[in-house]
Amino acid sequence: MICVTINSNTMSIHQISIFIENKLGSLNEILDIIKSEKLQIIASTVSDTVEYGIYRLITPEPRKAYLALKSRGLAVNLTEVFAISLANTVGTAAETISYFTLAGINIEYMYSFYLDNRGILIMRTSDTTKTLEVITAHKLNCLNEEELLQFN
Amino acid sequence: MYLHAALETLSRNGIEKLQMERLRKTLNHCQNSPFYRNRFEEYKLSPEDIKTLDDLKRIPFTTKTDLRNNYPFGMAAVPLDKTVRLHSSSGTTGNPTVVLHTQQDLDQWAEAVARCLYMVGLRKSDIFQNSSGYGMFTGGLGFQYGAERLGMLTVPAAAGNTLRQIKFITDFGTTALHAIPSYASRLYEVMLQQGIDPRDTKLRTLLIGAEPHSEAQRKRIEEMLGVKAYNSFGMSEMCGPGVAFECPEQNGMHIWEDYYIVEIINPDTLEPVADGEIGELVLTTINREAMPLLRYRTRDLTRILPGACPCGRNHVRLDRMKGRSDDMIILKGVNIFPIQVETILMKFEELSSNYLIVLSTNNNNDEMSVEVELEELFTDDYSKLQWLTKEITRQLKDELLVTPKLKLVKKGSLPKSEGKAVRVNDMRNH
Repeated sequence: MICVTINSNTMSIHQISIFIENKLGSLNEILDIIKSEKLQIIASTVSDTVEYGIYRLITPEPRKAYLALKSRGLAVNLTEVFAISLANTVGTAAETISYFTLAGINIEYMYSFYLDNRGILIMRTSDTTKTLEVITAHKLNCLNEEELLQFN
Repeated sequence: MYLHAALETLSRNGIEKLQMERLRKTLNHCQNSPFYRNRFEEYKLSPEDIKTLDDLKRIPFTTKTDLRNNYPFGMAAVPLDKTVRLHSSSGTTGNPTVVLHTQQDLDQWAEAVARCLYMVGLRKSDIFQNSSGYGMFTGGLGFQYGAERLGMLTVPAAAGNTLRQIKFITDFGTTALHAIPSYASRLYEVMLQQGIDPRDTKLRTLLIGAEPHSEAQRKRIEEMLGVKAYNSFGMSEMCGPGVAFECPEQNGMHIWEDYYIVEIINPDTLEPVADGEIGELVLTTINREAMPLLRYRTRDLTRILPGACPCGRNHVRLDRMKGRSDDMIILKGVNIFPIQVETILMKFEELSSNYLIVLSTNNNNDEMSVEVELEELFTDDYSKLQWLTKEITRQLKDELLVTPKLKLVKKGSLPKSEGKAVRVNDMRNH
């Protein structure tokens, strides 16, 4: 009954965003659901405001996680983000981000993690189409959802 | 189309003629009630003084306090051995109130409810499930007898046990359900959890009432459950359900004027309001035996909708209840009704229908906050969530004239009673 359709392109992945109240135990409730679905968490971030926050996480099977969380009554969003894989050398991030700056693309939020000795930047930008153009023009290396599956 | 065609399609003149005739009988009969006999003596009134419907104004109001002070049987106009049932309120705020019925009263009540059910299209072939509490709460037995009178197969499921309610709906092929609005939303949620699409059931008609709700909430319930939902009005002092009901036009509730004389008054001045204005509903029963009530102040706020109804009934239509004059919150000298808050919140699809108004005192300053559950995380963007909060606050301020603090909370975190939902938590320290 709950139907999830996503227009996927091979350059982007889907992140799970969950509304959380600033209350003891909020994260545990979510993590227990993810655990019961036997899903890995590849990366995650919590941003704080006074009363509520959004918990964002990357998992190998975003649709499965989305449905599981939604069916438990959580307010969840499946969000398209880019996972740009960067060489582990000084200055790479600065150079990469400058491409977006020059193209006039705002980065709404970003977090990063290490994977196989490479840095992965998870990015949500103000303009997906333009972002794709920059990624293609500069031959940036992006993780796709198939590659995420290896973590399960 | 009409169960009682002759009565339902009476002309305005016809209604008033019948009302005068029945009022005269009622006034004479009231002399058998110790309470009214004393009242008439006290005001030096006699039934003969009331010659027109307009003269009704000379009779003093009856209030809930009168009912409490004459607990349990002081209002009765017949000997107790003629009565066959009593219904009583919970009495959480003082003496309970008691309403007595003779067999004829119960028959009339069942006829009124049957008339309402027939009006919204229910027939004897329908299967009717009632999720009201039975026992003292009149929504149980009231609908039960009315539905049986119409000849429907009835499922007296009673309140609560949501999983069982759903099993009955699917197993018995329930086509019509009586439920309070907040419970209808609850049923929907549990159905989803059970993997049941409400549209796959045979449920087509929902009878709602007992709890103030907005037009937006009705629409939402209709959409969720795939039904037509009809609003109803009743109160235990007037039997219970069946006092007023929506017709298929779903635009106001016809109040049965062969049962009641309707007045709308200003609760402060006690004078009648101008036509179409909101005020307190005052009812006089004109076909009751055990316990007639003259000019009873219901505490419910509503107005009479102007104009004729295309359904052909001339019985006046009440607008949906604007809350109880008792529910009114006074904050910083401003009168606020929870239904005003609800009407605004319902405009936002991102929100669930559960909300809570919290009143508190902070540094000797009274504050109002509104907590509402976020139904969908429609965005991953903080600024959009903040925009939503601001926009709701702005609209609430425009409606209420005070600025509440809005708090988005997680779905399922607000108290969800299986009876009437608690909407106001007053923690002010005075």
